[in-house]
Amino acid sequence: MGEVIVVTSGKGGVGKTTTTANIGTGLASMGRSVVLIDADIGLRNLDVVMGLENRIVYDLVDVVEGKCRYKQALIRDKRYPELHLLAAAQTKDKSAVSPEQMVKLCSQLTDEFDFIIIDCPAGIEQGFKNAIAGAHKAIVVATPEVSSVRDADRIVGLLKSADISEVWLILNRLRPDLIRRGEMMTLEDVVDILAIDVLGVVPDDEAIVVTTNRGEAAVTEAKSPAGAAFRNIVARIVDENVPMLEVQEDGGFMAKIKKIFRKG
Amino acid sequence: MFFNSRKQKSGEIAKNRLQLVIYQDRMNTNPELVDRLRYDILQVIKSYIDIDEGALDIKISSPRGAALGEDGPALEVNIPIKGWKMR
Repeated sequence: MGEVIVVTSGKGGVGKTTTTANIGTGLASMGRSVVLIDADIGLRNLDVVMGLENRIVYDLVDVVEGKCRYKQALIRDKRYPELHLLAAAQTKDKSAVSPEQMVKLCSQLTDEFDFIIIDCPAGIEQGFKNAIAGAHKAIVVATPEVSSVRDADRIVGLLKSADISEVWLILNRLRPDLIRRGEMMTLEDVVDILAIDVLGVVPDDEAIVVTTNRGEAAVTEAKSPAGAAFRNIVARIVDENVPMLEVQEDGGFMAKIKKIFRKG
Repeated sequence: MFFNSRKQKSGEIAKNRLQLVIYQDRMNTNPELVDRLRYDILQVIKSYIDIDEGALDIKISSPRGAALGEDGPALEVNIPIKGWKMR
């Protein structure tokens, strides 16, 4: 029986799609079978981030409308055969899918796959409601900025009232240099305010730009600090006893990751 | 604030501003919680003091400028008094 995890944030542009792609790729690299669902109907993006934009035949709306079986719509990843994408429809809007249809689809997929990761659209309207409907757990992505953290708090409240009890935070795009100078909120600051369990912290890293340009995921880049952070996050999704890579205010995140690499 | 001449770092300012706005958001988006809080506060106070129950006002405010030493947000409850019950 697979697990359904929705990746959400409220605010746009904080890294939901990148996080979804990296977690999915990371889980597949550990031998798990994965389906990534792009729930952002009308603003399809996970396909291009994954480098699978030329392979789409059927999409999520085709599946829920019964135009094809879900197996026909699943696009296999280039590198990991156990990783699949169910693309969003680009020509429809959010009302093309209902929460009930998402619940049904997710429960079908859990019979066959270990993880179903849903990339939620920004906002708290219909698209959000669809994306969380079939989810068992939620990952809230936020950056250490006032707008993002405020929206994350709203999302956590909505997830709780939708009875999704397991909600984890990923704090994205942390800048150790700014934190050292006191010019950025720390993980502790954000956790103080949100009162939420932390899954991981991802430092700001140009490798994210470079890998996304290529349609690849940083999680498989040995030297990328963000990649290392995502590997840690994936390991913690699979086994919650894995300790979190922490941000150190003095040495910063980078230093700690470098140390880990040297050991390896 | 005059005695806070130390230049506050922006990370700390962000945290304080966020705390205030998020607590306010939580109140505004959860009227049920506010109703329960209002009810419980009234139950306690009205056995001591004759108050104008309809005029009770609850809000979360910034204590900056108030006579509080903390930077964090404060719960502000305003209840007009009609009379005194206990002596």
